[in-house]
Amino acid sequence: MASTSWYFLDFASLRRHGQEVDWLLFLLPLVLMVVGGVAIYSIGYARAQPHWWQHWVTGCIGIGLMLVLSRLRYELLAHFHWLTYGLMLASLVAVMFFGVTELGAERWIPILGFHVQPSEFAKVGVIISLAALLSRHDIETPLDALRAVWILLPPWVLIFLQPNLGTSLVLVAIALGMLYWAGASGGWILLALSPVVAAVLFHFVPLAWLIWSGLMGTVAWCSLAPWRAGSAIAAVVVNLLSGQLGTWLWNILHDYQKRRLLLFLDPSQDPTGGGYHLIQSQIAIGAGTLWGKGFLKGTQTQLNFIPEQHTDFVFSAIGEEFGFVGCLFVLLVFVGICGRLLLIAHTAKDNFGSLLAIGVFSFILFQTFVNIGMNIGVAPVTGIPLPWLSYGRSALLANFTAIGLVESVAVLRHRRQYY
Amino acid sequence: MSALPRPTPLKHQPRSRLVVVWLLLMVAATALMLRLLTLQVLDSKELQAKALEQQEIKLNPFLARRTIVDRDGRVVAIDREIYSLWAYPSLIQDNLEATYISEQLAPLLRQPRPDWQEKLRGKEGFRIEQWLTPSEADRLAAKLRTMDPQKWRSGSVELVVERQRNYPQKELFAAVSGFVNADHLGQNGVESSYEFLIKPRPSEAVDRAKKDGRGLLLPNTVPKGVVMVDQNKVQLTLSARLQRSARKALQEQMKEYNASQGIVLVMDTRNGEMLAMVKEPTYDPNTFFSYKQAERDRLFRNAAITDLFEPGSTFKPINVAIALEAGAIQPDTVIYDEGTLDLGGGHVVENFDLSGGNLSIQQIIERSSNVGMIHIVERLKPQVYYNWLEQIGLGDRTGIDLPGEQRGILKTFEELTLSRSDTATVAFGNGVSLTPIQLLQLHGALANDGKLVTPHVVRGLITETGEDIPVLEPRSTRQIFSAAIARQVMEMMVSVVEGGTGKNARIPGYRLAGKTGTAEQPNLSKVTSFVGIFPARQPRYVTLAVIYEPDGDNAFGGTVAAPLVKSVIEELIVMDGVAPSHREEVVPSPPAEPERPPATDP
Repeated sequence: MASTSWYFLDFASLRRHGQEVDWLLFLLPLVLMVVGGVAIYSIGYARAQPHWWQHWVTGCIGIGLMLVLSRLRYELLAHFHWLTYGLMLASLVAVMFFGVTELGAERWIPILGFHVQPSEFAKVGVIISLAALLSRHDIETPLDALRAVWILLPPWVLIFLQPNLGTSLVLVAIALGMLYWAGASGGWILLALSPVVAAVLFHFVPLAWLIWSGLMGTVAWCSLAPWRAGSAIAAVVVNLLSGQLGTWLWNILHDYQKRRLLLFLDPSQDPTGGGYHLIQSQIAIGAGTLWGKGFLKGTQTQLNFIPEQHTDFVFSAIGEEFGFVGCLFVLLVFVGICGRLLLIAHTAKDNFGSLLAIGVFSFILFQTFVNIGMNIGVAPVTGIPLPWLSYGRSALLANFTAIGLVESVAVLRHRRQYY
Repeated sequence: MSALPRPTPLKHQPRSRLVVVWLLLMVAATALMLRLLTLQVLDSKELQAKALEQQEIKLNPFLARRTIVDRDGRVVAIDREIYSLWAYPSLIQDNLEATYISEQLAPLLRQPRPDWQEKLRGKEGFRIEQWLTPSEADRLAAKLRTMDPQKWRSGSVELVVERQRNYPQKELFAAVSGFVNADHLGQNGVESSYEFLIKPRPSEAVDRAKKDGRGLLLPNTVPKGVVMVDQNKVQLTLSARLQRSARKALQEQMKEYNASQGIVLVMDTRNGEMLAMVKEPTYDPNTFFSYKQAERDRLFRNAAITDLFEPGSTFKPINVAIALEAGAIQPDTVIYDEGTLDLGGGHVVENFDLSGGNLSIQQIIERSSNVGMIHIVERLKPQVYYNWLEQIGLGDRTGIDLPGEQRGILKTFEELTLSRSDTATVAFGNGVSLTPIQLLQLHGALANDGKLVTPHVVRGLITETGEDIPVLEPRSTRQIFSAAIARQVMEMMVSVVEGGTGKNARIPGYRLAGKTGTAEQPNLSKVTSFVGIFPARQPRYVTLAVIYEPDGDNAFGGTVAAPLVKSVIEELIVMDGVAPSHREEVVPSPPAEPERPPATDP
């Protein structure tokens, strides 16, 4: 390792690299990307849309990006994380000024004729920033965890205001996963989320709201060691209050906003409006049965029953044309990716790498669960794409970037002895 | 190496965290898998059915009922598109939306129900406005399309196309046409009996059409010819012109004699086509629903085919034909008429004018001699006579193509031969009951060289350009009398008009056969009738007028019904441009009484 360069290009290192790379983690996203292109081809088939090859071309660029990044010494990022953080914020601010409005939200900035969606890259940016922060400061108390919140807040607010509820939720999921991995107690995370749960429960099942508040008191008692009594009472009070607060907030919502929230709970309320997607994708997937209707033979898909199916509802096309077997395959590939990510997080040589891997793990797991969930009616429609399958060039590149970083962690994990 | 930051040493990761995160992954994956299993394996049948249901498109391109026209192509019944504006308040979210909807629609409505704005805030669906014309509906549809989707949810107000059946001739054809109910199904008359012809069936290929997610028809799945709607019409045999003039004459006569009901029937003797079928009082099928329930049966019923009556003397020519056929009499047979006849059991039959003497068969018919008729019928063996009555179809239906025809009543042989008077009353047309249409049919047979035809009111389907489309089976005909005997009876009936009881039907220059009838009825005061056959030589039309319960001492078949038949035949003469067969009666320089040539008769 004579070179001070951060990049190795000699044959020996390439060969070594080939041995060290987690090839499964490399292959599984590739498989998903290919399957995604097939599904997108089928969706656009009746109307001869070109999305499918754009998906594959972008995918190939993404693979290249992943390969290059896998040879990057990821530790450098820990050093330059303020740079990535700054770039991320700048791009998000740029959206506010030069953003292209589409479907009622400003999410894109035009760069060289492409619509780039900074919020997708912001996911990776947040992972890097949080990993850098959390790897340096151990989390001993809940206040340590708050530091992460300050880092998260600026990009989160910028994305939330676009408005992009889906991505802002992904950021929260990433942050929680990384906090937990960095040492935050599960109880704290539960407590942090508890007011939201309390508010929802209060509205629908008041009795459960009371039980929940008590439960959170217990959690606080157990997890917040130095201030047991005070924090337990505080937890109960906050939960009880947030029930009321939730109702109050609920009432200041516009009727149409209430409608959208309620639709998730009962999509049949409005089968032609917001609930349409929820119902239609379930019908398509259900109509696929065990073995599917076959490539290009899914009637709901081919007859365009699901608007914008190639993005957030690509899974329903797979479900209809390839059936339960196809869905199970996709699900298993995702489990495989998440499993590898978890393994790398566990075996990384340092905290930063471990946290990078767990950040990407949280990101992939959350998006996969929520996206498939909304396709099959167990999660609300929030505009979260399915990694590698949904059409979306920025997202595809961001996903490969994330995997590339984790590959780097994987490649370098056995080199601890060099340092 | 120095350029690189020293990596933070790996903190000891408690295994519990790894397990927790691993479990989270497994739980999430398992949950998704179970849900997929439910959707794709357990509920898949139901969801597949839903998918199919969505793709199927009900092509229902306003399948109008066919237009009904008269024999000259005048419209009797026609479908029109009308629209209703419906609201479904259960789909309206809040007052704000209701207000928005009422604000937007109010300026476009002409006659909405007065409480529609309040009802929008209610629960039940209702019709905001009905009877909207297509142009009004277009304006409303454009409005509904351009209303702000943020402020209302489309679908809570919609335009519904409905079909309205219009009867431009109003009361004129009511008895024959019938009407359609709220479901647009025929309820009476031709609308009901020819439902299969009037209502076009959509082609079965329609079911193969598919629609996409936006509800658009997929052109490649649309079967050929699905959008072609034929413009065929159902044509009646009736003539609006004859119908109108017969109705006018009937109304005048009924008014003069204060009659309760009247019927005029005209049939083409050669094929059974009905040229007129008028019944008074009648109703307007456009507003059939506005009649009182108690009145409906009396007004809606087509008495010509439903009301049985004892025809009286109008039945006598039939009896004469039977007696001639059975050989019981010859045309030159002379019968002594006592003027009155005691049938026993206190039943004494008298002739109308109490006259008597030796009468030829022709004279018996001419004078309508009851006693003479009894002697004729009594010359027949009862069994033979009864067989004849059965054979000509008494107690049966004519088979006219209208719903609700009643069967005539013929007593059993035992009843008919119970006493002398039971047989004798049938001789002058009492003691048998039949419908006006059947009496017409029997006289039609006399006029048609003994051949019985089936009366009918529908010719069949015609194309837009008036060409016939063969859809109906030919109607049955049956020879019941020999041609020679039918002609003999016809000649006797000519003398009825020339010099007998039917003088009031006489039209100078023309010859027609006829027979009067005035019969006391079991439950009505009396029914007067007159049957006229025109022209006497090579008859074409048989006309029957029946007037129920005319008032006045001078109310007889010859006075009430005969002039009516005369005016109908006069109209026929004008319609067909029939030249007088006896020109000398109209042209001669000193006419007996001033007569206008019938051709100029209005």
